[in-house]
Amino acid sequence: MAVLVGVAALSGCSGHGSSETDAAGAAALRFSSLAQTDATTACRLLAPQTASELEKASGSCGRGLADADPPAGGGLRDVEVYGFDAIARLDDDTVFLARFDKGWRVTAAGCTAQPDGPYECDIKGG
Amino acid sequence: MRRLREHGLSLAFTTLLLCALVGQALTGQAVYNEQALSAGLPPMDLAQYVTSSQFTVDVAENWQSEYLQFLLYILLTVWLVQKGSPESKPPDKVGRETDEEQKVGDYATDDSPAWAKASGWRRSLFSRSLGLTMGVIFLLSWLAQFVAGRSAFNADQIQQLEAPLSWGEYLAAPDFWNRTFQNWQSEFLAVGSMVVLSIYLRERGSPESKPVGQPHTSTGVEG
Repeated sequence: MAVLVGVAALSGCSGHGSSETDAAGAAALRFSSLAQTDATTACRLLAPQTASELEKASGSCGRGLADADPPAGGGLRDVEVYGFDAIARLDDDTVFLARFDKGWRVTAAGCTAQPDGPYECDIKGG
Repeated sequence: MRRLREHGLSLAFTTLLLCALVGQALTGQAVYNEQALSAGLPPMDLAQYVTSSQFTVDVAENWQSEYLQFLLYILLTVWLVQKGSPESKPPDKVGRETDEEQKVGDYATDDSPAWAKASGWRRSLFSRSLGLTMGVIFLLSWLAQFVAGRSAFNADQIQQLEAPLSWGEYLAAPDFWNRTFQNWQSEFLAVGSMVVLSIYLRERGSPESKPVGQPHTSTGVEG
């Protein structure tokens, strides 16, 4: 029972303040900045399926990213991490991330909250 | 060998529990990874899965309902009866019973537990220790379900590009209550079934059953 409560606390309370939170936030900021200046490098911070969707749409991920024209993003306001999934709220953007072997990767960006239902995102996987 | 025989029941159920947990971990990991891979998301290895909120909530939601079942069973059988059931006390024994019937204080025997002989809060606490313990474990495992459940739900929300829920929002969310009620209904069904079926059916040699030849109308007799 103590193990169960302990694991619940660790897995459930990881929303804020851990090293994974910092890493996810840094990945979101880096992607947001690179998407404006170096789309090819920014593509390496995308989740494979997201990069693949951009490639399918525009012939290459870099071109697809440029075409999608994500917002500048701004400063980091908040990051919530739940296991392998995270959401980073920037001043002018919301970015969704997943943790792969090589670190946090962006699954969706250029996202706007909708009154009902999922965020509308300029960049996302299939 | 004698120790094994004397503790066979708890050993058997501990072994079954561990085997079932291993089975749940392996199959749960497989299900999670199937869904993750088809969504282009990273899979988890077994160590990551058994420390994940997904596994924790699946375990905790079952444990909380088991302990609630036992808590209610222990408490309600003090005050409620079922004629003919070996799971029930006879109707004339409803309530906490006398000190003599419960072998406490002056009526305790030499080999009674120490706190049964004691007076005051020690006897009171010991007299309710089974229900209290079940209640505490129920509350802790329900708390674990809540905490891990929110994390697992929010991971799902993020995968679907939806906003995660706050603590308060998750407490009111259908996911939390659906997990809770789906487990509760099966526990109450199990106890109710046992209470009623054991009136009319027998299992020779089991203390959970009346003796085979015991009338259907006799209450509180176990074989």
